[in-house]
Amino acid sequence: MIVRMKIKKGEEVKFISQLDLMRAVERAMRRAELPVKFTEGFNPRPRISFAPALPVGITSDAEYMDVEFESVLPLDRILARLNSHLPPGISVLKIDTAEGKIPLSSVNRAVYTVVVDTGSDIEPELLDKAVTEMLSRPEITVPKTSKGKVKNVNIAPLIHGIKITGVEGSRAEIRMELSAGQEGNVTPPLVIKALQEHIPSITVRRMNRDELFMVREGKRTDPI
Amino acid sequence: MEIKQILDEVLPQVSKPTRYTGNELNSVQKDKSKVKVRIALAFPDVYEVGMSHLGLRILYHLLNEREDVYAERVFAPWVDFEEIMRERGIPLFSLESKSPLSEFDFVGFSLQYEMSYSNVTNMLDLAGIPLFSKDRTDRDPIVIAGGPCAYNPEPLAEIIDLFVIGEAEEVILELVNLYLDHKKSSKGRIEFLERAARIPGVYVPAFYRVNYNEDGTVKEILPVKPGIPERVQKRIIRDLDRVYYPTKLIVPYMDIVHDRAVLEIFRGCTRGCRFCQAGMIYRPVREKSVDKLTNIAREMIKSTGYEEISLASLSTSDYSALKQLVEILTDEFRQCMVGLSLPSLRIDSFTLDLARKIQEIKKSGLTFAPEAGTQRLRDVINKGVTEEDLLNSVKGAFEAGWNTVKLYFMIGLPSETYEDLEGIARLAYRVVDAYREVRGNTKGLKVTVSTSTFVPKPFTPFQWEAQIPLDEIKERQRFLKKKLKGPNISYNWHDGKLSFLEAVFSRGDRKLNSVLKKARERGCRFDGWSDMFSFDKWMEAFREAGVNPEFYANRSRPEDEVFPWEVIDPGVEKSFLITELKKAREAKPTPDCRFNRCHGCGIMKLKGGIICDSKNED
Repeated sequence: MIVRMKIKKGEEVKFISQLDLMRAVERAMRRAELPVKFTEGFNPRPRISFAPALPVGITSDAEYMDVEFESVLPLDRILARLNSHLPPGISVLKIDTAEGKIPLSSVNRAVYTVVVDTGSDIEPELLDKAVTEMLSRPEITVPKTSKGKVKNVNIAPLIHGIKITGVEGSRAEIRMELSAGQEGNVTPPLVIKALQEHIPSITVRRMNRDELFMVREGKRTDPI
Repeated sequence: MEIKQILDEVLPQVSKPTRYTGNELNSVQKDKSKVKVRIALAFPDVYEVGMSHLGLRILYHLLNEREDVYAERVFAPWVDFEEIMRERGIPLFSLESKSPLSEFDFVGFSLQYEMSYSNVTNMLDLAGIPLFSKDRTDRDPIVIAGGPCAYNPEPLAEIIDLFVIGEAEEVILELVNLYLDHKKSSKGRIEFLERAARIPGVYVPAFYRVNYNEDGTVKEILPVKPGIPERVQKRIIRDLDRVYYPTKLIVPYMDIVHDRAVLEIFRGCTRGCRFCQAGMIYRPVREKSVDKLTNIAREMIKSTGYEEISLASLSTSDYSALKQLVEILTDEFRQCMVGLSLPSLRIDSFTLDLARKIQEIKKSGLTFAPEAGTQRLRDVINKGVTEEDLLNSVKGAFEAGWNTVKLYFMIGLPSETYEDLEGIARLAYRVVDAYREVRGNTKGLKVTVSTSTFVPKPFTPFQWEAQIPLDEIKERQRFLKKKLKGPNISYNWHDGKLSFLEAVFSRGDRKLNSVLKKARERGCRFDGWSDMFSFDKWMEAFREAGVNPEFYANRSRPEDEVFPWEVIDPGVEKSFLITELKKAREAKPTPDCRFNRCHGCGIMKLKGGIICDSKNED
């Protein structure tokens, strides 16, 4: 039986890597005495697969995981047992069978909420203007480090919408819908880096992944 | 700004931020205002090394069992984070409550290897705690230290306020109780230290004066106050079945060096290898019962979910009921896919069977430690293993399907010649031949030869011996490099400069405290990490402090020399060590007292231990 889980990664664990998260879940399953299926061979690994990795430092309400179990178990029991054994900061939000759902590898879109600080009181119109200006450019190039090399990339086609959802004092809350996954991936820190060209004093205070889903031909499908 | 808030801002910029965040499963959260004693358990290396250390984990959970005590962890920040800490003025802080170290009542360092001393001094500096004991006031924490290196406390005698010698489970609680009692009075730290120095197993260096001879050797070490013991005898736990052992271990998120549930099966070793300090200072041998171990193992997996359990001891094969224990544990854990690992296993036909059994779950390479290349030299060091034993075991392993073998040796052992070095290479090639014999070819075979350089250690029969000079270390490594070439063989060696410094500090005296200060000022830290180690800076520190390092490393000592560490009594007697030294010089082995008569090492005076109890003293 393959089960899909929607997982929360909170403040307490925002710096752990995806591999760390997987290990934490694997160990929680052993503590909860849930029979996970293992691979064959010399180094048996639990059969767990993940949606696109989240960069460290970002909390999330939309991490997905497929776990294969040895036997058929009631879903509500898995949810309850696992939640009572997961470490602080990690919890299962939703659970369902993975059958009939999109493969996690086909996920290509994510929505984030980013709280930024500009150092002094923000005038909403100016922030709006900066975002509009940035998005109106045909190319938005930012330096991106990957495997130790710095390379300029154009992130314009990977941004699907940026909206300011709240302003208070020097802080603003920004919602952004971005490409995620194998087809193209951009994360909030890069977008903020691009925005710094327009507002140099802007810094990130908090980032959260709110949603993760697939968009094909304009149609949205959620993993669960 | 609170440390927590600053961390949120700076941690995204550092490598492996999880080193500094805490919040792991089973880590302890308490209200710091509601406890009476706060202890920072400091490990002078990065998180992933420190968290792999069993002693730290035992003390952490032991202390936190008490409601009136809050023990927290602190590790050495890696250099990238240290830079930010210094820039932003972030003091060294604890993982649990993110409190500056200066807030604590005690800061306790674990001293596992000499080359972490520079991290001790650097951590004190980052914490804003004065480096020298004499400069601390009643507002500063009491700085304590323990672990194997505390058996020669002198290189840190001016830095550490109080050393705990031997096994700490009981004495640490006695110290806490004394502290609680002392807090009721209005007296200061000196008075506390004076009372602490009367607890068995506690050494407070400030209460001892060292007089030197003209040649720079120690003349005498004398207590300067009445009631302070002349020698400090180490503490041991008599009954390991009754000592506290944690089962709700912290489960780290990040990959640490030994990321598994650790089951300590016994303490001590009776093999009597003459270079080995652990074999002498951890005597007598005391085992835990199979029943007790099975219960601990079951509890540990239940509360950690670890996928692997490892049996910890100095020499796993010596556990009297090993076969029974392994059978029970493999049966118990097969279902939930928990693997068993047996490090420090002496491989022979019996243990090979066991190894085969545990490989049902996990597959790994095999490690052998012949230590020396010829029978003569193995007799000198009392490593009771023959070439035939080794080759038979290796063949058995190849027949059972293994193809990766690691061979550990030491170079520079007393009396070593190039013939002995030649022997290392010959042994490696004989292992290759053995593989060819079993499999018909050498396909898939990997033989790794590793050499470290012999470091004479206090309280071993070789404490009188010299380390070979640095040039000679390099020469012998070059020799082996040339000899160990071939498609199936690879050769690794430890940096000789590091072994040289290790030899200086392992048998050092109080004059080295000022060297440590100079080295810190020059930025020495993480010396065990090859990319951080700067030999030149260390040499400058020695020069500036007016200390000649070769005096400590490369000088052989006369039998009647007084050693700086003789203020400590490890139970094993000096007369026994001298007898062993003489036997070494005649290449005469001393059989394991477990299977032979008692050799009178002196440990029986501590009353305890399975071997000692069953034998009458000669």
